[in-house]
Amino acid sequence: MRSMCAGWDTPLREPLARSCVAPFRQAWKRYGKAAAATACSDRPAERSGREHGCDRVLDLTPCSRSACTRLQAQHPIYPRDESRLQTMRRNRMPPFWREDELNRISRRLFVGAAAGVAILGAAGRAHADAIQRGGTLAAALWPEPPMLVAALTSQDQTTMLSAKMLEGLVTYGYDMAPQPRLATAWETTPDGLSIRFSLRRGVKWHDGEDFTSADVAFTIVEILKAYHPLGRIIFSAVREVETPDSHTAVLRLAHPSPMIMASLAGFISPIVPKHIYASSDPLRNPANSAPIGTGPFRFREWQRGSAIIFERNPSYWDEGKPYVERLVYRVLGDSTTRSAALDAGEVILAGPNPVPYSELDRFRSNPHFTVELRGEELLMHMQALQINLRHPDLEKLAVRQAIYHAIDRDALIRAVWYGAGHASNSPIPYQAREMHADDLPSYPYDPARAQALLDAAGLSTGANGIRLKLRFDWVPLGQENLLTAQFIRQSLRRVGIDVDVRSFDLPTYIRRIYSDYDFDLNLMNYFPTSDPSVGVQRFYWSKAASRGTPFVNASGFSDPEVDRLLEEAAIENDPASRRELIHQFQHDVMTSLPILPLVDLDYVSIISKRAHAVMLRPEGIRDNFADVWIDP
Amino acid sequence: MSIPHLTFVGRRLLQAIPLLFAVVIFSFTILHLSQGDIADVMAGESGAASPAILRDIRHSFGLDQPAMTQLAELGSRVIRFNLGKSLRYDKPVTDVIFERTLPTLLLTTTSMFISLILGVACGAVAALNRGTIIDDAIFVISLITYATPMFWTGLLLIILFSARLDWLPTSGMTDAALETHGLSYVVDVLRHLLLPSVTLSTVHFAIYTRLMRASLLEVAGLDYVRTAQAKGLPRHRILIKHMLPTPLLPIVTMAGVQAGALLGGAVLVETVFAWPGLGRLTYEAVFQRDYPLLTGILILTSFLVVAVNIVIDIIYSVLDPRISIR
Amino acid sequence: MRGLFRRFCHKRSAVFGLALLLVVVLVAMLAPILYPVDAAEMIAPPLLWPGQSLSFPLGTDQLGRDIAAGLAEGARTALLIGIVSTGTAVSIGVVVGAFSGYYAGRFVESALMRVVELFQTMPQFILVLVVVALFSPSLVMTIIAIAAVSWPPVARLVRAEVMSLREREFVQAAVALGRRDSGIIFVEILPNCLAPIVATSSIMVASAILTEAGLSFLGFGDPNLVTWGSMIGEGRNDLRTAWYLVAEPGAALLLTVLSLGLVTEGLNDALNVRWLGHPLA
Repeated sequence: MRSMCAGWDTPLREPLARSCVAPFRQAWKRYGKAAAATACSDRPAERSGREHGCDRVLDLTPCSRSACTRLQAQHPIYPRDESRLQTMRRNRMPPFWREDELNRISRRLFVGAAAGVAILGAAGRAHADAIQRGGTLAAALWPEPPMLVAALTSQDQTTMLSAKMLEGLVTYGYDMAPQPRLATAWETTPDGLSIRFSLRRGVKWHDGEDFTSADVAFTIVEILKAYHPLGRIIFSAVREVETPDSHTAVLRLAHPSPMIMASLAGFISPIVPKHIYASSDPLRNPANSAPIGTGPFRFREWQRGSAIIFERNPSYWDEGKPYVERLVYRVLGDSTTRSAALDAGEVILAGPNPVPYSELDRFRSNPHFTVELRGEELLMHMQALQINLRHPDLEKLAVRQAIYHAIDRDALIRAVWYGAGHASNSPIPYQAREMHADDLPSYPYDPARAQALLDAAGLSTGANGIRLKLRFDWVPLGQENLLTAQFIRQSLRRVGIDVDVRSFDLPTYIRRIYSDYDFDLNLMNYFPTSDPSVGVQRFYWSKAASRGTPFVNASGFSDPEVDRLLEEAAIENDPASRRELIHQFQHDVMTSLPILPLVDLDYVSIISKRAHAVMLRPEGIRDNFADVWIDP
Repeated sequence: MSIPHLTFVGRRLLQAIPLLFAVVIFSFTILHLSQGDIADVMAGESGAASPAILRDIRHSFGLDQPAMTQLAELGSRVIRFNLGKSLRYDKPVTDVIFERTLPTLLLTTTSMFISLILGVACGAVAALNRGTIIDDAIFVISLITYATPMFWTGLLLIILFSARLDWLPTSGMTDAALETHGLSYVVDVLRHLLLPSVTLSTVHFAIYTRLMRASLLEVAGLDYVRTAQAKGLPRHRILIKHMLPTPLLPIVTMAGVQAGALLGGAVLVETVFAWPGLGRLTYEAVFQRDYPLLTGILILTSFLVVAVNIVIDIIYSVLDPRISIR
Repeated sequence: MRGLFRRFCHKRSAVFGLALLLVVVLVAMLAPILYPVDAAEMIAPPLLWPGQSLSFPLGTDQLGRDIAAGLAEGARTALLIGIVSTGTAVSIGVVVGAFSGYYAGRFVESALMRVVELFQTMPQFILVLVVVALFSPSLVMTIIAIAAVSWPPVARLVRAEVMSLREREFVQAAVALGRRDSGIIFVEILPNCLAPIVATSSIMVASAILTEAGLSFLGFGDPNLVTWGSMIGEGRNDLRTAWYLVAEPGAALLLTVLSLGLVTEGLNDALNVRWLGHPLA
């Protein structure tokens, strides 16, 4: 009995159009208080406004495991009529539902859904132990990556694909502690100036050569430190890598650098074969499009514009793995197309953010899929407004505070991201629980205060209510950024700031913002990574500013105290002291506001229930998929 | 082919050479006038960058040289029929284009086929039933198909036939998850081809319908048709032998003119259906500042259009003996 | 003129088209009065279905913007772009075509014709996309780009007409009288070519509106404006849940282009214009 309630806390959301008072009463009567307790959730009601009636969501979660058990005892479980339920959900378009119709359908939904919730749990459990071998895993991919080796770029899709073929020294569990992969043991000296890795034996490259410490030394010094955009930060302290024997590598550091051990995942710092890359320009090496690695999958074929195919590596070092025979990544450019492909079962895995946010609820309530928020812990994603402090008006702190107060971030998240995010109050996302400081200055939505601040700053309302004209640029990656730009434009309009939204394609945008510094407000998406010295410092450190280099400090921000905090944190080995420094850093920058953090974004992956063991570790879909298996 | 034909073809090809040069200069200029280069694109996609990497990328692709040097180098390569290597894919441009040419040709010729056949048929039916409700109905249908945006039609078709009815695949050219050979491969491609080619053919169907109708009506009033009617020839004989050849001329012209438009329209259809074709490749080449690739594509398509125009002129001379190849 | 109008009115469909077009023009002109608040203002609860609220009869989008206001403002933008770009294209095309037709056989003509060919061999939509996207999408840029690719067919048409008219007696008479070339072209010849130019223009407006919709759909329209194409593009992500976001601006586009097509058809018949070598002749 208990096992059948294993999935009881996965809510099934059935959106209904009008008031759900009647079905609430029905639920109460029929299933008792335990089941109906969470029957009506107010979530979408905020969006449509209470004046327009209650667009509520029926949350069919039994409020406790015992309630679920009780439900099963009271009502016989019959097979859920899946297609009928799908049709009913699809047909739920028109807003007018008569009360009796509502009752009739909701009654069926209730029973069916309650049963379904239980069956869901049952199904999940039933397959937990029987690993199936073979099969082809089809996934959706967009956009098509420029190359397949993550040692030279941090482009998202490149890292995702590269990790299947090229591995890193370690992997990580959800506790962020390193676990063995190409390295079996590691040890940092107490002074923090050298890290010793014992490498795994018996590992071979796909072309048959042996994996040795020479590959590790070559990769870290010649490839990652020299070419990888994050690698140059991560390994900046590395003076040299010694290789006392073929399976030991020792990193000698100029100063302690805690960020190294946090950034060795396969999709960030993969090890590449020295015998392939040593001889030529790494950027033009043909192996970038047909990689040789140590991973569970070998490169098979790249049908440009169409698909990238990997096949199982029979001589993988982890005996018996991988379980899947073939991986096919289909290039699908349109989000509606990806959504249709998932529905049709043509792909069983897609991410990150494969479908429009408006469709996530549909996938959440579809028992064939899991909408996963996990798998992004090593990268995380944020959206922030970078301000050009060179502008005479934006230099004034009061103006920046006013802009921050004028934007209703909660409304923004609901409108643009359909609730998939949190309003940020720090450059470090809330998901990084250790580093994220709690008691930071807050800037709640307060247009009146914004107007007062602007008045105090000497920007009075002009002829047509305009105090200030600003240009607004946004990184052209995704439709949501355009909607955010429009949202912010209207928000700022209300406090008297006239915003001219400009649209550029990616290379023009990069030049304008980071080479010409020709911007006022810049909406940027970035990944803070699990270590702030890697992903956050670059925007606040004055020495990171570099004209012509994108995604660094372009605000013109330079604060000696902040610089000191960041520099000390980068070399501080003691976790407690480091946390202190980072907390202080957050306090400082959230007071001086060179950048306004807007949203901690939830990136989702949609995984069919046919695929198993994808999210065993926080690398998620960017992991090597050695443990993944699929139902036939 | 007789001598006059060959000299005609030769002369037209020679005339096309300055055109091709203009295309090269145009595509190079437009990409260099715009800001940013492929190094910026790669950095932008990475979400992170370093000055050393950008410098290396630019040096590797020869982008740090002055513009005129790059143009001269491009020009000299083109003369020797070497289109160079794509910056993005690091493969020869001809390879990249070739991979995508077959799907585009498949899509455009199929849709042209569909729109021509349906258009000519409907136009003829409309002309023959002039003034009746059939004429009006075809008129309305053709206007509606012309007026509806192609991307909208495409999205609606996907939702209807793939997501709801599950009769046809959603996108792509083949089902990469299955390895098919021979006949089953052909069938797979045909299944994937149906929706995109129908979508692409909607606008042109309207054009050919109207054109056919207008030309047929023009012809119907002419003397020789009335003579044939007076002679008592059966209707279908008049239609096929006497009336049909004349409208073919303008239709063939229009088909040639539309050949260029198809590539542009294909961008939208290829985006919606994830069809691995040239239209989308051109669009991407622009936004990735991959100027060898863009130049290569524009040269090839211009050449194609010139070739199509030559072929049409020759067909003209065959269809209408009054026109001679000068 | 009156005869022209009477001939035009003989076709029911043409009259219907004209009426429809007038409705669109009316909505466009009255937009600032009917909807004084900017269509981009987020004044309403988001994602209201059409008919769900009386104050927002056509519904609202995901940011809470009134769709009816968006359609009205979109009508203004569409007509503005269509008319201005067509007007520009026709002006350029007429001048180029007239001069190359009149001086046929001489160097001027072949040079101009080479330029026309250059523009025609490049895929038109891609050209517009390139120009607009690379030089920052804005209203002005869109108009310029569309005009730049629309003038070659006009030039070709005018050239053909001018070439055929050049040999007529009234022109010979004007030459004999010693009139200047430009005077002959613009005073004697061009007024007689007006018919096909007018007929082409109305369908060019439709084509310009569709091109702009395609650009906005791909995300290269002016981000500060609400246009039908941008509404479809932004509503695309909600296609399965709130398909009215795509349906309503799509219907507006459809009706406008339809009306222009019907008017073109009527003009063709009324002006007794023969096949011109352009769509929907």
